[in-house]
Amino acid sequence: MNKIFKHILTFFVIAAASAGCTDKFGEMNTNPYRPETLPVHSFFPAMLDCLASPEENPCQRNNTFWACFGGYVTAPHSWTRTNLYSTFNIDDAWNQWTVDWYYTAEGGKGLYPGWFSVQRLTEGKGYYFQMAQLLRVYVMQMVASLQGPLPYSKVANGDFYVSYDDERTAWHAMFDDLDAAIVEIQSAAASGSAPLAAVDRIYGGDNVKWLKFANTLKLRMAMRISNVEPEYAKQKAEEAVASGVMEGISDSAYDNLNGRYNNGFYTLAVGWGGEVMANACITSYMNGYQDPRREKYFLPSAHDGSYMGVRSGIAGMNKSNYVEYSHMIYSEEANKTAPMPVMLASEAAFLRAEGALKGWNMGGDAKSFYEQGIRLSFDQWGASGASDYIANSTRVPGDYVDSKTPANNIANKCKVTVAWEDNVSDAKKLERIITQKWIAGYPNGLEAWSDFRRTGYPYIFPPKDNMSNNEVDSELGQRRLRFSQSEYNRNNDNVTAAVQMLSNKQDKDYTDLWWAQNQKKY
Amino acid sequence: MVKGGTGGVTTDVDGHYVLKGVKPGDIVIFSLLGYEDLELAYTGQPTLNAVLSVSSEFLDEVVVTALGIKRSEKALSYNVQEVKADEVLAVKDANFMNSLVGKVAGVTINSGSNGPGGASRVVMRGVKSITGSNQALYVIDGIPMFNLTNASSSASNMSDQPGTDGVADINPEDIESISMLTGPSAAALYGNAAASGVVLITTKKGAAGKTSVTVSNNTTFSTAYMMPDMQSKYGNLAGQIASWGPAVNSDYNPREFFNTGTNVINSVSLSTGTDKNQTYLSVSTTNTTGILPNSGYNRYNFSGRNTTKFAKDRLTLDLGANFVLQDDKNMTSQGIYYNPLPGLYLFPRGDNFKEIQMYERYDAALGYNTVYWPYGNDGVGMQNPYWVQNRELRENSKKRYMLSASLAWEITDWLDIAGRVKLDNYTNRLTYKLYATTDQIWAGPNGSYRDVNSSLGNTYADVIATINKTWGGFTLNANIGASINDSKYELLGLDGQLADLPNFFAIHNLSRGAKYKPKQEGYHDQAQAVFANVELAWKSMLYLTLTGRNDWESRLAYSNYKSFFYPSVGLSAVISNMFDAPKWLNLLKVRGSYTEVGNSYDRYMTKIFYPFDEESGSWSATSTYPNLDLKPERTKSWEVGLNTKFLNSISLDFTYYRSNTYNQTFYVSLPPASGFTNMPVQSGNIMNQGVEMAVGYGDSWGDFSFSTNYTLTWNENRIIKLIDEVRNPFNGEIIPMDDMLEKGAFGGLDAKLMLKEGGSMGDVYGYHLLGRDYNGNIAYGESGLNVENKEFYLGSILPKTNMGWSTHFGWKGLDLGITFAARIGGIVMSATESYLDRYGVSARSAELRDAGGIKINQGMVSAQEYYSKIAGNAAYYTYDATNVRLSELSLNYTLPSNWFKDKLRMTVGFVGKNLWMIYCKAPFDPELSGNVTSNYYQGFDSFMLPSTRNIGFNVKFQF
Repeated sequence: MNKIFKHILTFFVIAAASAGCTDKFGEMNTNPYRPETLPVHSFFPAMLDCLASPEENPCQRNNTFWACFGGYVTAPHSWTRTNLYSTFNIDDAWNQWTVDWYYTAEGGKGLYPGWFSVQRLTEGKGYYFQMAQLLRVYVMQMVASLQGPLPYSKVANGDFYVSYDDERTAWHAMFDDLDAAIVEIQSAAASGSAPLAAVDRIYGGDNVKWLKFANTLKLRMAMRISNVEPEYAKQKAEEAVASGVMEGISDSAYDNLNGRYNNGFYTLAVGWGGEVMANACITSYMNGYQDPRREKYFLPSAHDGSYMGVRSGIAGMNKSNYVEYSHMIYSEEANKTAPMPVMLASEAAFLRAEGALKGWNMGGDAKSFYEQGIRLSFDQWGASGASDYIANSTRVPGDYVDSKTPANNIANKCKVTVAWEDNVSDAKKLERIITQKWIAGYPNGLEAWSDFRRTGYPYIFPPKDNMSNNEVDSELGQRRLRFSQSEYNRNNDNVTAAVQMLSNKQDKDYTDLWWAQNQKKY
Repeated sequence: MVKGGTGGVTTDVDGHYVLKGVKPGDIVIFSLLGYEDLELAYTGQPTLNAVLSVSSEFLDEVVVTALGIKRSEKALSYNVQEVKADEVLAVKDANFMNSLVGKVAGVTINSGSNGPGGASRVVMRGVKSITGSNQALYVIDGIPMFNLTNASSSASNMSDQPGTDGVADINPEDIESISMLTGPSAAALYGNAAASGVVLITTKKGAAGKTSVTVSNNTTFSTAYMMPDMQSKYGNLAGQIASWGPAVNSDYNPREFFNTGTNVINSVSLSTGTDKNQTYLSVSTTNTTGILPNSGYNRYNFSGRNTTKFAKDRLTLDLGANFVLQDDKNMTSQGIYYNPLPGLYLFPRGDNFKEIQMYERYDAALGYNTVYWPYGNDGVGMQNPYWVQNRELRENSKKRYMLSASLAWEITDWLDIAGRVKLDNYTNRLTYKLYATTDQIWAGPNGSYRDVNSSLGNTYADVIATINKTWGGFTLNANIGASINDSKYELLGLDGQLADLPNFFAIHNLSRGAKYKPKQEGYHDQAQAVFANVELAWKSMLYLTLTGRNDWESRLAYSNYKSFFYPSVGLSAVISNMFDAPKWLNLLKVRGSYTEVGNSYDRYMTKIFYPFDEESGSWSATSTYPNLDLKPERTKSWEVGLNTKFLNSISLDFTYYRSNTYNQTFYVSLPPASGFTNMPVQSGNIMNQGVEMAVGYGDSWGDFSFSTNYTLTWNENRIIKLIDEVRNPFNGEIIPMDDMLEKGAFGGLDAKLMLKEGGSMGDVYGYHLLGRDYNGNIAYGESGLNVENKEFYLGSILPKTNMGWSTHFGWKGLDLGITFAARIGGIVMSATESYLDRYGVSARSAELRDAGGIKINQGMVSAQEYYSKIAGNAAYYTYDATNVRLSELSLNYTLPSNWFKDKLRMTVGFVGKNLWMIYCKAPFDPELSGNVTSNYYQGFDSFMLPSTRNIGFNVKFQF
């Protein structure tokens, strides 16, 4: 019997020993292949992705879907759906993609996962934080230009349900943050330090250029609200110019990609088999002007060798029917890793031209900045013949002639010539400036759409099929993106309050934004 | 024997006996082990025949329960269903689980749609876990098996194709029996892994006293069975893909693309042994080719087992070894990635498919063959189907070995102790070779290459002491033990586009630019447990069972919980033994049990780790809000049941169960402006209740025997509560949460699976309908038909009831087995049909064109307009999933052994599977699963491979 108890005892000792040995559990539950801390600079690449959206899915969503409203690109496919941006009847599921992604996306993408990480690591101070602030302002002015009111000043770590700022509050808050960032970048530029050199795909850490970038952004933002806050806009614009905006093409901001992604337009055009094409609108304008930049922007159509983009907004369209139309130049194999434009020096010149037209102190007159903008654009794309182009006073934007499907033809209502005229109305001058700014701004769809909503220029072709049940005016076009359905699902009180901040208190595609009241010019 | 006399005689095998010296008036006693003694009076007749009835004591079969512990069936307070090897072997499948369809109550088995050898989905008593896989646990000879499914973790129509799983590696020939423990009560001793039920597999051992060799061949041929109805009358307009053009009366027949698949299983096994030592050896080969060209699955199993008794028979050593080599090529399940079906089905009917059959053409400038496919992918994954199968090679090869040893020591007549160890290690290599000119969605200009090696090592060990004591009417049976289960997984690989050398598939030829994706993952999990199972029996009538288990898991490290405990209690009463039951009542048992099972959450959840983003090739911030205050999950369940046997031939088993799973760990979405996409929370109460019923009848009359079994499963799944009070871990505020959780969309249709309180875990919603006018008729306005946004409930993908009915007729050596299976309730959806309509290749679309259109609201709408409007909207592509089929038919004949002088037993047979779909309203097989690991991507067809009808034969020799 004794022996038996000894055995039982031995058994329990073994059992207890095996169960008691949990010392290694901590090590086991620590992922050997994923770090628990990251250095602060490692959060910048994902934030930088938000500027040009090079990754394929965001590129499609942020550069081709609603971006067709800018008249540069057409997404010639319906993905077996009846609800498309281009036909003014996008549904809730797709409507939320862009804005939600700019905030936060799976896998630490979007702005805020990185921004919060930088804020935490820097305790909200210093160069890294102010650079993150600059990027935040850049991304959020896009969101504000898309949907209007947005959660901005109340955004805080750990606060899940953020209330919205009305548009005026948000834009003022963004200017405040931008000004603070400019101060920090200015001192970094003076010292010549480049802490972000390793991860900065735009300027390789060069703060002199970042300073110009920040000031050009400030100038852009000032112009955006110039209709509704003229004095404040003037002050901000003049500050920006005084501090130094982009002037030469080497100041232009491109996402150089650095092997992180391929050029997003290339992927959509080639990898995805023609899911982005040139828009009929811009090829028609450039055909009319016989613009030498055409061959830099586009490939000739395989159908007849002309520059023939695809009309946007055709219900049920299928990309297989448009393979012969003009592609964006990015569909060339050589452009697989071509840098993607973020903000170009020509934009700064056109902004100054418009500012001068308003009587702001821009350091020059409207005509010279206007012509400088065109020259910068020609230089940027390596096109020759800028002088002849600038001097031409006869050519006008062309009608759209679809040699394959004539049903898509449309007459161009814009008749403005290129050569500057002093003795015309300010409206005519503005039409001229914005039309050329628009051509030079290719392919930044949001700026084009924003200028169109703010000024009514240029004439952007209406969709062939307006499927909005007459809610959206074909000529005025869609005026904004609706708030995200995800916000109605998860942040309902705050988004409902935000609807009351809209100009007509309705969360609709036809609702004008604060700075873009009805501007029908054609 | 004669009553009161001494000595008796034994009958021969056929029951003949000669008893001498019997006088009239003597009472002859007939006895047979397992039967009631029978006393008959001898009245001088020349023969005295006796029919013995089965003894209720011996009715009590011994069944294998958790941890391999053998228990008398009477004692069990929960439902255990045993399936004998012949049921599994009758119609062999490369994955034996598919042979159990319709044979067990409480279990839903869906075969993977990726053909032979593919993983199956096995769910017991309904889906319980919101994030877990809900797949049953597999236990081989008492030891849990690590069942890693070779499937992509994301389930959508744009996922990689799923593969096989660990269970499919088992050689069905090695199986002695299978017990299904459908409820958590039965599984309480296995811990959390068993919360979804257990499939207990007992493998063969050598038998003492005789040597036998079994050689068998099983060959079946499979053909595509349920294919969509397509048209080839109308062609496409020049330059267009969709077939909305004029009539061309093409002879294009997509069915011709499919091959006849073959499935050949050969096996040899040897069983030999003496009283002291028994040996079992087996070898089997499984070679299958799928219905898709250039696809298949091969497996080679080698297994051996040796059982030895020594030290005066007090020690028993059982050693086992298994070695498995398995490879598969181009397994295809569904979706628009790496699938030949979009190109095949949507092919423009006006064009010549013969051109496509020459799938590659030499390009002199490039110096290699390029794909011939002038259509592009058209956003729906269209590719040259032959190219997909021949130039987009997706292959796996796996080596796996399992070694096990157990030593049992009978210390005294009431105490024994047993220890077991099992190693299960495998390595798998997965390669993707996409040749140059493959569509650039998947491949670079020079091609793409993926090479991923993974290895898994699992070690399990336990030690169990068993005590068996009887005092008076009481019997105590207790098992006390401890176990350790340790798993290590490593994955290492590279994926990318090929650099300079086209079609040269080597790591050094990978381009380091975009799309270069190094892959590395790994984990080491360990669970330790002590457990006890105590059974107290009173006079073979009343059994009380108590179990308890305490788990220490590495996944809990850094949390506030070091371990968790969970108990169960069960009572079984054999009523028929409590009173003098009538002869016709062989057994009446009622039982009830209550169980709690704990569950840990996923590994690596108690600390923050920064993820690596493959697409951009960089570390990234986390977009999951860290919630480190997690506690173990819990499932509480109870069941009551009844087991009866009467008239020696009829049995009825009935179980009602209910389980509630609380505190599940799942992710809720956060508003994007929070800077996070989601956060883990622990909440919810998912209830499953249902009924399992099995009715059986079996008897024999001379040469004729008949048996039939009917099983019924009814399960109701309900979300009682989805989110209760969840607090913001940052500031403690109660955070308002959605009362619903979106669990995935179905690519190609607008439907979404939404979890809502009061709903079930299978509820699907649609979002678009054709607009109607004020009179409720479909509106036809200036712009034609319009589609309105409208959310509405489509139905649930979960079945209400599953039924199975198998019957065997035996006559002499002939055995006819028939199994019917039925599923009632639920819906399925087909994106395939929607695509076919949109491209004008469905048979319907031709019929509608023949008819001149469809009449809507007084006007005729053209087929093209109608289908282009309804396509993509799940409302028009949802079908009743109810189906009834003849799932198995087998006819086996065992040749009379005297033909071979009793030296040989030979069985030949004919088998058929999926022979007849008796009732089905869906255009595809509703029981196929496109991705077996997903709880939500079920009942959905997006270019799913057609189900197959299998017909074949088998031959078996036994020496």
